[in-house]
Amino acid sequence: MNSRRTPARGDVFTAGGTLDTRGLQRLQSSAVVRWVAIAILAAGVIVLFNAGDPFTLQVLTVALLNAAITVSLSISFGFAGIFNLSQGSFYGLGAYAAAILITDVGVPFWVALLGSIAVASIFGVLMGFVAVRLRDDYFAFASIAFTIIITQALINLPELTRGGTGFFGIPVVDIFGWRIATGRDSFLLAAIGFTVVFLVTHRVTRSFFGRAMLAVNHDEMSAKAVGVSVVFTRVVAMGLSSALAGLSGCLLTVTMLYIQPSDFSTVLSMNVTLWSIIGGPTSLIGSAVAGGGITFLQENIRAIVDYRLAILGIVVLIAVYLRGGVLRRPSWMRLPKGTR
Amino acid sequence: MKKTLTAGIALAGVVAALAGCSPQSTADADEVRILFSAPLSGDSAESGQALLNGAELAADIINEAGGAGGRTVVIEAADDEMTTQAANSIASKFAADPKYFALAGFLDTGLAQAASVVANRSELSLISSFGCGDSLVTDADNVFVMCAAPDANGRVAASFIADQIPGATFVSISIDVPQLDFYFNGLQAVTDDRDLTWASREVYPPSATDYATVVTNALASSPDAIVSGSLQASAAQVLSQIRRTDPDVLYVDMLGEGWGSTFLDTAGDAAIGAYTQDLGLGFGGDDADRVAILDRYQDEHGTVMSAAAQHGYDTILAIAAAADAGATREDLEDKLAEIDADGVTGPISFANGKRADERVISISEITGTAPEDRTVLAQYTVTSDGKISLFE
Repeated sequence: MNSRRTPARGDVFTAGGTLDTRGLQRLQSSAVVRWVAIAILAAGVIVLFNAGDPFTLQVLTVALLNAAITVSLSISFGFAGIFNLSQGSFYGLGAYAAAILITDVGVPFWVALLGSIAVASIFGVLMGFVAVRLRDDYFAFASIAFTIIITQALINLPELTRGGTGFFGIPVVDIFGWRIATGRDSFLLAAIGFTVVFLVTHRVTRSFFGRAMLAVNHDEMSAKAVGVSVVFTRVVAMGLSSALAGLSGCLLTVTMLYIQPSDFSTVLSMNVTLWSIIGGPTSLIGSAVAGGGITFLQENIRAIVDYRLAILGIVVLIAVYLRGGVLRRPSWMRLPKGTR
Repeated sequence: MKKTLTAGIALAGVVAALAGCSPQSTADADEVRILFSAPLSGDSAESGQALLNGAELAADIINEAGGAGGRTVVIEAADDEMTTQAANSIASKFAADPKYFALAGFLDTGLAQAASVVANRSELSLISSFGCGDSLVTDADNVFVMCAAPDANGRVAASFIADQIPGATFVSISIDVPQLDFYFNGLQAVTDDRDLTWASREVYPPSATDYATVVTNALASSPDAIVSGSLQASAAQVLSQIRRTDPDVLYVDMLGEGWGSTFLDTAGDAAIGAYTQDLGLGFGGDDADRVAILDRYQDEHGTVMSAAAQHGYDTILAIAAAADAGATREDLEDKLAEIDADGVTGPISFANGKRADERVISISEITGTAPEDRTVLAQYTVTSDGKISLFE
């Protein structure tokens, strides 16, 4: 927030003053591109040196997918300010849509991918309308209920989902002649998926719509006063956020070839939100590092597994104290005191 | 710019270093190291720990007798937390590191299935000790299954009722979850074959805390027996309500969980006279070696050797037999198909497929409120093709 300087083009006006977006515009071209390039370079190094190590590839694949859903949550939770505790459900809906379409309907990967995005975004839009009516902790309860409903539906529709024991027999997919048959293929596909989710989220959050989400999040009345539709913003934010989670879910299905309802229970949704809080809800890099990094460390440092919840709790407390995540977002994106 | 690049390079270095730290070693020629997956934390930790305890007891006994082909059997426990993600990681750890001779354990069909996908990428097999679902043998081709298919439990419950009361009328009371359909299929098959009458199927939702309605409905037809498809605590509550109205009706378990402390503590004296189903030969018996194993387990852990523990034991016995026959981790599948061993749950062989050829399921009468207070009344052999007969 900066109420002293002269407002510039592209700024967001709120009751508390003007939200300075100049830093945002600078970021569009430089830092993020560097970070993504570094991440891809690191991934390439790992693949080159560990091409034959199934354990590392497996863990990195899961870490990248968890990073992707955490980044996608930034849209609804971080920018639009919707206390969304159901991101794991959209991930699951995308995963199950892909499993059913590929295994039972026999469609190619691309059709399944579109189907996953469509199914997850439809449910996301529905939850977006709920987000229009309910705020903060009330919506949080509704999103938990949604997660439970989806999990129970996946268990109790065995003709469609194979029920509680999970979805078996998913075939290896072929993407323009590239068969996702090995751990290395899975890792590379997850890396591509993560990059797509990251860049799409980056573009969305740095667009006019991204500023509209921040405006609605900071001060709804002021946003309305300058012509931002709160209903449209919240609904589309939920739709986009869930669509990207659905995309990640599709990639989970084709890389793991087995899914079960308990993978998408409230535990996953809570974890994704915790990772987002730790990384910083509006920091895409922070979200990616927290979601992927915690998954990676959890699998690599098994000695601390018994203490992981305690450690996670301490890190969350630190993140809350720092207001903006352990990996702090830029100052122009931090919310002023008293707004959350 | 400089700061960002430094941070980025540091991050890339840390990630690459951690990735490089992944376990890579060579197999120790003097040991048979088995990576054993079980839930050691969370809601299923009690059963997971029992599964592991059984495996460790088997390793101890085999090593005291000279090992598997002279090699020491080592169990390395891995907590799968009952999550697919952890099961996948454990399977990939097994695939990545040649020091592991075998991957075994698993309390849950889904986790074994998830692990099988990862192991299959490296053309390796695994052994599911207590995940028994049909999908493991129909949808995967690299999983050996130690236990009988779920429909066998339904078959055994109906066979026991038919043996006790020919032409009986029975009802079932169960939790309403789709997974029970497998058990009901077995129940229906024997009901048709043995001229039984299945009067009604009473179900309650997973969230239920009051069972008065289902119990009243079940007793309305004055059945000779009630088949229980309830988990431990709710099975005990249902039984307590039944006993208030009808103290004599047979109450027979269909799930094969082996009613233990939770059931007995909840039901109290009402448990006496109920019929519990155990995967395996049950408790006690005439075989001195087997009884010695059960007693040793009880001495070491202060509780009876549950069905899960017995299956953990037999899993290690099967792997050790294969190692003794000269198996390597790459051809474990071929050697397991050749073994012929006697375990605490009954004979172990895989000549006809990847589910154990014959499995024994016992029905015991509960005679007191301690887990060991039970008398084996009947033992049934279930073959991998679903046929059932009295155990010889």
